[in-house]
Amino acid sequence: MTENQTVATTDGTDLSVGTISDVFSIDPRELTRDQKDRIIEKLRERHKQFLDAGQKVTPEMKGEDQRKMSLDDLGIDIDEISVPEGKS
Amino acid sequence: MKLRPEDEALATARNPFCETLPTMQKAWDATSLNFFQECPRKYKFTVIDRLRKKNPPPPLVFGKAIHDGLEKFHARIAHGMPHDEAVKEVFDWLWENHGGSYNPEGKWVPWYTTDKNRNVATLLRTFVWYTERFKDDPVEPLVLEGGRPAVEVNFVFPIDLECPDGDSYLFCGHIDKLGQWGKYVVAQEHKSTTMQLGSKYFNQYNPNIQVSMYTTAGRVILERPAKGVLIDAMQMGWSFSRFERSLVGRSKQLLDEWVEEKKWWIKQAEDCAKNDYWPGNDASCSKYGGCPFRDACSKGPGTPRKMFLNASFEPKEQWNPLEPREVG
Repeated sequence: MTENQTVATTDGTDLSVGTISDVFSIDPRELTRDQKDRIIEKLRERHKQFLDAGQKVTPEMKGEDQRKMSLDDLGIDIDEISVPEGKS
Repeated sequence: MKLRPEDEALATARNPFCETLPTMQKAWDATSLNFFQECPRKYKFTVIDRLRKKNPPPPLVFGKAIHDGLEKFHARIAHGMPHDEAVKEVFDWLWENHGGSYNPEGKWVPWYTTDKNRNVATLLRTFVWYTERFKDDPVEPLVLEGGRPAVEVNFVFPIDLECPDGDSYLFCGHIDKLGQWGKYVVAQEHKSTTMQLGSKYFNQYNPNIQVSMYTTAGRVILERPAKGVLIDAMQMGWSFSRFERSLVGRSKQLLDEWVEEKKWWIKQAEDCAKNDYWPGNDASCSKYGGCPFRDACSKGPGTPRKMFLNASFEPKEQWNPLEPREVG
């Protein structure tokens, strides 16, 4: 697990994804049902937050990279899962 | 609600092309009609030669993924699966099948693109948010004869136009869901876009080949005619997904006119096939974000164009709109 890791992408380019703590970089088959359920719940929370704000993007949402979801945020222990070994 | 028996019999037809003129399509779906009307050469490359880009653009990949995911979701709900269970099953399917792939060393390579609006995270978010937004969906699927819910409905029916084989040309396609929405019977379709959702967005479906085709199909194959297509539109943003639903209807007069026009277009395709001449339509090159064959067409005809096509495109499986889609 390294900071500022670069992964190979399916469109043939390399892309820096910052830390690999982004859950969407992980092979989903490495996650447990409970871990995936927590991701779904987190997405539902973000939806409620969006609706409560009148279908507008709140400053809090703007400040958070919505393309990512941190493992810490989900309470997922990074050592419990294997992550992709992209090109660096 | 039952499908007409003759339409069920036609559904066993499998060859979408004429036996006597193999480059002439006999069974026309909305997509192939769109290609031909847009540009006969684009149609030739896509439908006859089966060429696809080696690296499809993110909007195409994303659109297909979310469409397939929602189709699976609606099928599960229609067959009685509890909402939460259906969400979990399809969430897993989307992530495992569209969130990346395994490289030759067996390592997971996530689908990262430079498109900030269309990536793994926005795909999964859009799916979950859609299932929250339409949790108590008022669109009830019709029940077909035998108790089967009207989801994943394949249709095929003859039109009043003779093809080179001596029988009729066919219209065909695949409707995600036929449902009851208030007092209307509607076909339901999902569309993703980065456009703001409003009247300007929905106006693009009036007129529109797919809406007219599905509404015509609903009128032909059902005992009760369909009012139109209910478009579930999804606006993709970097940090949000927004949804709007709108019914796009068609009068019988408009549909009759539409069918007559399609017959004219199919005769044009017949001329192209008979003469093996597929002219380009340079008024369409810039539409829809630019035609994928634009660079090929800017090369000289013959060898230079063929070389370019070989480098950037590859032939895929035969375009067969008669093949029933198994949603699973």
